[in-house]
Amino acid sequence: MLKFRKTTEADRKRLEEWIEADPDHKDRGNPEFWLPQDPAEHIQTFAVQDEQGDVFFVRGENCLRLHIQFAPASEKRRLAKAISEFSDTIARSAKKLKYTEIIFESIFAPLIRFLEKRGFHSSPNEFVKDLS
Amino acid sequence: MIYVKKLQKTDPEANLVAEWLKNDPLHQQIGITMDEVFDPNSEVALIFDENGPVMAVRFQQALRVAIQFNPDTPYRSAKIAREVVQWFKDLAKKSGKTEVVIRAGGKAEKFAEKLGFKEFIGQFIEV
Repeated sequence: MLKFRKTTEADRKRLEEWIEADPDHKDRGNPEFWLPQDPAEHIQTFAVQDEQGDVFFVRGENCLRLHIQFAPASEKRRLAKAISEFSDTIARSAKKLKYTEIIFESIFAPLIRFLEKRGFHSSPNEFVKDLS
Repeated sequence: MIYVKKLQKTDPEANLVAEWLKNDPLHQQIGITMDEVFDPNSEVALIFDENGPVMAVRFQQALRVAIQFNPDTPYRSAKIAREVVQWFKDLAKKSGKTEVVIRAGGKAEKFAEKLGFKEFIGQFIEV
């Protein structure tokens, strides 16, 4: 039977040890990421426990995922201008609504390069699961 | 200057989006349909510039989950994984989200697939 509890400052030492021993997180993780930091709980941090104790630390936050259908490539100039303006607008709105991240899927290299110049980063190892 | 208008599947402008989709080889190749564009679990907006509609955007609210495993207990982690995913889903549902997103590295990639997660190539920005 699983239990879930909110993380506390008392978890710091354990987090340091687990991060240090985790080849995927070592050198780029820090305990603060997993500790409570948001009084309004827009970012939630938990420890997941089985009958023997803590097994995972978990952080949950609000992410806005976009799916975009563009006008045809013949409208390239209009699109470039609109994407640029839209990405600024949506980032400001998302922040106000307590999202911490905007993400969308693309494999179209020119678009990826265009958005990288506007602060977007590629993240090839994303996985999604719907709630059904 | 752009402006944003909420779009319903029954609005006349939806036909324009259908036309764009039909003529978009990349989206045709990956099989995107108008039913998917107007997924009832999300909202769609049409973005206009001074010359008219220029793109359609579907917004989906997701719960981004990050996990720090105990590196010494992989079997214990594996044993409870399905139950934990169900908890993620419940947590997401409770806060009005329609999906759970994770960024899985190393061995966790295969594990995520086994748990029913679908991979995608993301472009993200922190806000």
